[in-house]
Amino acid sequence: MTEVSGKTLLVTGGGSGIGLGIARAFARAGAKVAIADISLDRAREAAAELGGVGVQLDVAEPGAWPAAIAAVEAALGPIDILANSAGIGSGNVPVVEMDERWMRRLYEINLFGAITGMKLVAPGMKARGGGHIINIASSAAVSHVPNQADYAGAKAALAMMSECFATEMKADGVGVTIVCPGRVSTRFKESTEAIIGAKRRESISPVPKKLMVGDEVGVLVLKAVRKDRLWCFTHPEIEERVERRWDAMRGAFAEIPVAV
Amino acid sequence: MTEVSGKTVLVTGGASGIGLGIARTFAAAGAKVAIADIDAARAQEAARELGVVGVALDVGDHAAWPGAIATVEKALGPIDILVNSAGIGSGNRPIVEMEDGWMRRLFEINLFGSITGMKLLGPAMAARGAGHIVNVASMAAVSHVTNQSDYAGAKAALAMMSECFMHEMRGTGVEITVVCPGRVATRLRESTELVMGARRKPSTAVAPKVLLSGDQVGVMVLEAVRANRLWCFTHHENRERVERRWRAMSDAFDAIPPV
Repeated sequence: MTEVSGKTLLVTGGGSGIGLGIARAFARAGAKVAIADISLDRAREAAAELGGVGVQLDVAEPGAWPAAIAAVEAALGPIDILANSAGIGSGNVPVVEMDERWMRRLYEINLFGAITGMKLVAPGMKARGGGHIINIASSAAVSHVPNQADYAGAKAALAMMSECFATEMKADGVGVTIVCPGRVSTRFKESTEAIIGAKRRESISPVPKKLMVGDEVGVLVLKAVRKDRLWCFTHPEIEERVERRWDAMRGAFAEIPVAV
Repeated sequence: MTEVSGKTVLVTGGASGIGLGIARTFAAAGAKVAIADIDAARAQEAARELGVVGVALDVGDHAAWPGAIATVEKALGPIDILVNSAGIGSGNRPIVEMEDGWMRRLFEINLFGSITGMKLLGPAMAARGAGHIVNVASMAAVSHVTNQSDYAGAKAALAMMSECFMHEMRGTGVEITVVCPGRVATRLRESTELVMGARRKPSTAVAPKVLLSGDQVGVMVLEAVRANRLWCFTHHENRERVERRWRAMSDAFDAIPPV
């Protein structure tokens, strides 16, 4: 989607963090912005700041999506760009201690919620000759995080499903961008605990000295969408980890017997 | 797990395809093998053929796991190696036409079923100071497949969760191997249609050149387990696709503006 000015953008989880950063960047670039958030207050607050529309939406509720889409489209016209940014975090426990309920809720929100959105808006985009999906994955989609297997797994699945989607929709003019941020300052801990109704354990991952903010991510996402890029990374230091993963795979390919 | 002789192995989805190939290979290497399968008759038949133990298990049914594990451990002793091979295939549809029910069932079986097994057996393996999980993923875990995003997504998640697990279990003696086969002759289509009670659309994926048997994959898995290797690939021809994915990511990293 080379031109975003005048286009309608719906951002889920847009009331804070990376979602809000994307909404701000696209609004500045002339897009008509709709903010969906599980908190109506936050959605309205963000919408008021950006002169857009705010709607309440729990992305994990497939039955709630159509009304949210209808409300947005009645106000701003057909959705040209969907940014799936709503998500919760891991319980920060190893697989063997993982809380079944937490894992499933995480998959419902972070993965299946995004898929629901894609299924509902992509056919309209195709019929109108184009559109763009932005899926907020994570660096955890492409590089493991101990004690966050639920989160990393759902993000890896979201990235892979987005790659499949890209090839499925290419001829229809519907692009997709997978955003893989490193650590970003967000309300993640608070919103995760509010949704799960339980405390997260402290993460064992090291905290970087300086956290990126949602607005910085938004600028990078806008650029990636304008260039129709599939991958959007934000933290250069992640590349080494992804490269190490590929090196391990390359080493394993070398172990295949020659005859096969 | 450098030595598999005398070890107890539970293979889910072990009555056919890759699971059966792994069961046969490990049995031949001296392991005590148990075959679990959603199809009880096939599990017994395969077990009889190999002279091993057969149990019925729908891995997507969490409550069914403890009973199956108890049966196996009573007959063969504590499970040292768990092979999660049970799985179904995609409905072969683009995301916009994907059936919600199919996608969810696929995640239950292919992903959450394996996680259940790891959660139930991982702690006891760690307590004994040794064990091995073999998760049968797919090339689709590391390289996209058009019209099979449910399958590729669940396999990508399985691979990633396995990598997390590996680091979490470091120092406990519990190892993990992620198997990423290319094209293998299996009963995937038949068993998928049986489990889903519906026909699959024909695949749009281009058939790769090399078709392996389950037994050939089994031999490679045995070798990877003995060498405690995380990744086990089976087809040279797929290396290029994974490399292409890494190149695309590498290019995207280059696009990050200097701060």
